[in-house]
Amino acid sequence: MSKNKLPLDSPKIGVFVCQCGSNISSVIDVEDLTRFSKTLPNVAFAENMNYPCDRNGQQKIVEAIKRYRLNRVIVAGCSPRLYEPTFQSCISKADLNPWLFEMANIREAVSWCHKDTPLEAADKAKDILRMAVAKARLLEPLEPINLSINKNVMVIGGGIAGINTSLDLANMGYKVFVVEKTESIGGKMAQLDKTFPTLDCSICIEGPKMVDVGRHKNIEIISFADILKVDGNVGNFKVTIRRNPRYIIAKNCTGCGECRDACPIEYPNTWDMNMGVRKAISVPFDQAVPLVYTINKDHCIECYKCVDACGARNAIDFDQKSEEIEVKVGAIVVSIGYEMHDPVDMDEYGYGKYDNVVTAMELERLLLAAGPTGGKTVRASDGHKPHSIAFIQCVGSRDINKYEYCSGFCCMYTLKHAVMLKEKYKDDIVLHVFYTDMRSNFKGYEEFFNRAQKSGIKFIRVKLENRFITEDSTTKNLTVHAETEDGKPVQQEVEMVVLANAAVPTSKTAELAKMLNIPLSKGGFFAECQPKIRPMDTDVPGVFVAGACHGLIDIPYSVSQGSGAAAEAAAVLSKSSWTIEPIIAKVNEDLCSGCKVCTSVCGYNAINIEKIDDKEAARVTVGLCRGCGICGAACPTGAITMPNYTDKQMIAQVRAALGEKN
Amino acid sequence: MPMKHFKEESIDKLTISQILYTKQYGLTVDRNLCKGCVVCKLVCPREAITLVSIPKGSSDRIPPPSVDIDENKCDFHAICAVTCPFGAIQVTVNNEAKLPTVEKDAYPTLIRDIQIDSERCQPDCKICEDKCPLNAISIHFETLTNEEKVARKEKNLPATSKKTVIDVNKKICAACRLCEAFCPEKVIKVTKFFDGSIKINQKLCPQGCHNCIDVCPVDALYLDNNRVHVNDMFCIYCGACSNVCPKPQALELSRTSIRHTPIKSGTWNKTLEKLTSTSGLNKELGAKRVDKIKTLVKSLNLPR
Ligand SMILES: Cc1cc2nc3c(=O)[nH]c(=O)nc-3n(C[C@H](O)[C@H](O)[C@H](O)COP(=O)(O)OP(=O)(O)OC[C@H]3O[C@@H](n4cnc5c(N)ncnc54)[C@H](O)[C@@H]3O)c2cc1C
Ligand code: SF4
Ligand code: SF4
Ligand code: SF4
Ligand code: SF4
Repeated sequence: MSKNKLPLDSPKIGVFVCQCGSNISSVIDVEDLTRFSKTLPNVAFAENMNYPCDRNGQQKIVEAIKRYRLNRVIVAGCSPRLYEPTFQSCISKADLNPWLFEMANIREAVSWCHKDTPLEAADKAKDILRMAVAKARLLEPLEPINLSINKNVMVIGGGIAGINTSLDLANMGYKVFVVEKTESIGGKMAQLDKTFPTLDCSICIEGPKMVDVGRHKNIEIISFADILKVDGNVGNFKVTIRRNPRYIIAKNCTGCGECRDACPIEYPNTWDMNMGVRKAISVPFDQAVPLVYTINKDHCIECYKCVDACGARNAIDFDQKSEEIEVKVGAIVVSIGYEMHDPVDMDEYGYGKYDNVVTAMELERLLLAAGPTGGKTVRASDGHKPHSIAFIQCVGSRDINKYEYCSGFCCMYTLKHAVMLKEKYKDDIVLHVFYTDMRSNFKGYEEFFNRAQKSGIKFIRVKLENRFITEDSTTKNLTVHAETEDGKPVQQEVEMVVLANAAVPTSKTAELAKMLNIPLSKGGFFAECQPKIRPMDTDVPGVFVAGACHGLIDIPYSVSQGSGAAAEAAAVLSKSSWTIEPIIAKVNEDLCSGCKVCTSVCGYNAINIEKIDDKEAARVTVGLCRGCGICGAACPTGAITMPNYTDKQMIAQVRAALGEKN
Repeated sequence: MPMKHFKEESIDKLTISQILYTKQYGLTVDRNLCKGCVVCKLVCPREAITLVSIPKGSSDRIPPPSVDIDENKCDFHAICAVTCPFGAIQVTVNNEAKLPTVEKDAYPTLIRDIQIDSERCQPDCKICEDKCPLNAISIHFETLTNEEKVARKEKNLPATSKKTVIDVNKKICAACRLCEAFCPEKVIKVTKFFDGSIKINQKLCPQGCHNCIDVCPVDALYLDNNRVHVNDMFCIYCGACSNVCPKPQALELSRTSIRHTPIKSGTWNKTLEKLTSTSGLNKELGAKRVDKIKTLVKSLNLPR
């Protein structure tokens, strides 16, 4: 911690004007600005230099502080977003408190935007500098705030992304809570038959990882559960979770399935895209993790045949209630994936109207040997294997009236489906892919496209608009109508149509974003803090995103993001404490009337009215407050101040801006 | 193809279906067999069935109510089909008749007990066929073989040239005992599957109303001196009458027991709760408990 050894009561300000190569000096006369600085009250020293931010420049600042016993420093240069932390640590090397630093932005705010009017630019630069000096005179030394860090971590969503995050963190030694909405972890990958471009069996490569998660001593899976509330902040989150009743005592259930065999009741299995059925007591698929059965009380007739079958294992409990639990963690990784848009609302494709129009995920279940047809690709209308199939790309995606974005993985999974069908049925099947652009831009993908083209699959490039499907009501065959790029109509009769329907954010994305205080991006997926250089960070410290929940990405990319988010979370968890800037709201409890105005304006749930010594007063949750200051502005009694953004300091700046003499 | 639910209705039948990619479930209510008793509504665990009252219109007779089934709620497990006294409901899976709950021993079937000693029938008699209100009996005659003639003689039965062959459609026989009552030779013995009591509260029953008589499927009610009376012998306690009775408590009906194949099933206990009076329920559950204790004691092999 830097000690302030210099007397603060009489400000001695040093001003360092940056030339920034020619970025500033080509528009503003920096010599003149330096001379001007010296005329301002309490400025004890001023100079200009090429790059104050480089090592040389920083060294000069440190020396000047020491030589002239400066106790406030102003750099007139770029935006504080870029170099404020650099200069703060620079002045602390001269034993000056880092918050006795002020930055005057004369680059983004002056030289860059007013380069054609240098005279006015010079005046504006002087105004800005005068304001900075006015504030610097009143700066107070502050101390950073340190938060403790809980070493546990939560992963919300147990798809392939969340699985990788969990395993990585658990292997690093952190205790991981995986909260999964459905009965089993695995996500969409566990629903797939094979994966592009290598065509390896999806569950064969994901299954062992799922089992590892289930068995890892550092991982606890909280499945069939909903997140209800997230409180707290980085280092100390408190998550309230509802565990929904399975009506099965998990520790007694051996996963034998004898109850399922005894149960008389069947209902459509959403895991199988409602193409097949499951029993009222069952698991959605055989490789489920945890392998604990669930009774669906909506369908169960309470015959208790399962209870008899279960016998001495005694795993069935019809009185089980939902249970609310609280889990405390230091960091959270969100990996809740995506959902598929239901194309029934897009009349032109006839989904729901024509029997032989299916979605890509439905085809995936048809291809799968463990699927509802035992791996037979058949038509719904007659149960026969089709001799021709058309694939329609971008159904709902890349459509400004629907989902403007590209769903990312559809081109590749269509290639996968087409290659699998072609290699299986050879000349007994004709495949037509109606596409607009083929997006095959990762390792091995373009080569896979070539393999598809060489195998005799027909690729027809058509416009995204004016595509529709009609049905022959007797043969139940379908005709695809489309237009080539040069406007020529094309028509193709086929026996089955597969739609590459859009992938969309899960229905809970917005709700969860609200609980976590993280924004959504256009399209409704989670927004990352900086998509390029901080792709897994969110605006909330300690909350990270991974996988398809913040943009549609395929399995390899989701896996790497899962590991990336694990590393990011570990960077938080491994710290002994988490340091935040002391610029957060401060409440003067004597002035606070408990009117709650602040709580209604705070966008981060950071301020609440609590009983403090027999009095209702506002209290700030340190880790949540972002120091935006809105509560301070709204408070009618002036009870809330923001350190170094006090009324006195702000008014002094306003006065300076208006040219008033101090 | 998304999962589909359909409903089709005609005067003769109501059909609902659930079509999945690989499986098709169907349920049909034969409107000619349905008597509007709504036993099915009472037992359906999904609450998918509703009673539809049909207005009297210009005719003097009130038609029996009918049922509607919500195709989005039905799970096609055939509990209604098994309990319908008149066998009006059929469930199919992939177009084959199925009783999933019965097959898995999760639900019993009603015992439609009708014993006919047709060897003792009068030659050419078809009275039972004529009297059956549900058309559950069909009769034809076959020439006797010599061996059969000898056999009859040995049994001291009167000599005849033809034998009577009686087919009872056990799916739809409601065991009302009308055939038994009218049989001149007393060769038929029927045991009801529902037992109970029915009472007309003459003080509350308004004169001139004969709704219950109109709908009774088995002629268990009759008018005498402009008053409704019950013939307890024939009543099968289906409850169709109480659904059309306009005055509360004018007609009191309760079921005390149900004859069914042996079963151990929570669903059946619910059915008992819904169909029978508490005394009936306690009787059956009590008997089961005694049975349970008996088997337990047996299995413990205690010294006497
Ligand atoms: C038809 C089709 C075929 C595909 N084929 C391939 C392929 O061959 N190769 C390939 O690389 N990619 C393929 N993909 C893409 C692949 O599915 C995704 O890349 C991958 O599933 C993304 O993983 P994820 O973990 O981010 O999300 P998901 O797999 O969606 O997993 C998210 C998990 O979070 C859970 N969850 C959701 N909401 C909540 C909540 N509120 N709380 C708690 N848990 C929640 C879900 O239940 C699920 O378990 C295909 C996609 C489709 C549609
Ligand atoms: S009690 Fe429910 S879950 Fe158990 S066997 Fe009967 S219907 Fe199935
Ligand atoms: S400064 Fe902003 S974040 Fe902090 S308490 Fe006030 S309104 Fe909330
Ligand atoms: S139970 Fe009664 S109402 Fe239901 S179908 Fe049978 S006869 Fe009709
Ligand atoms: S009198 Fe008996 S048989 Fe007739 S409708 Fe009423 S309950 Fe049914």
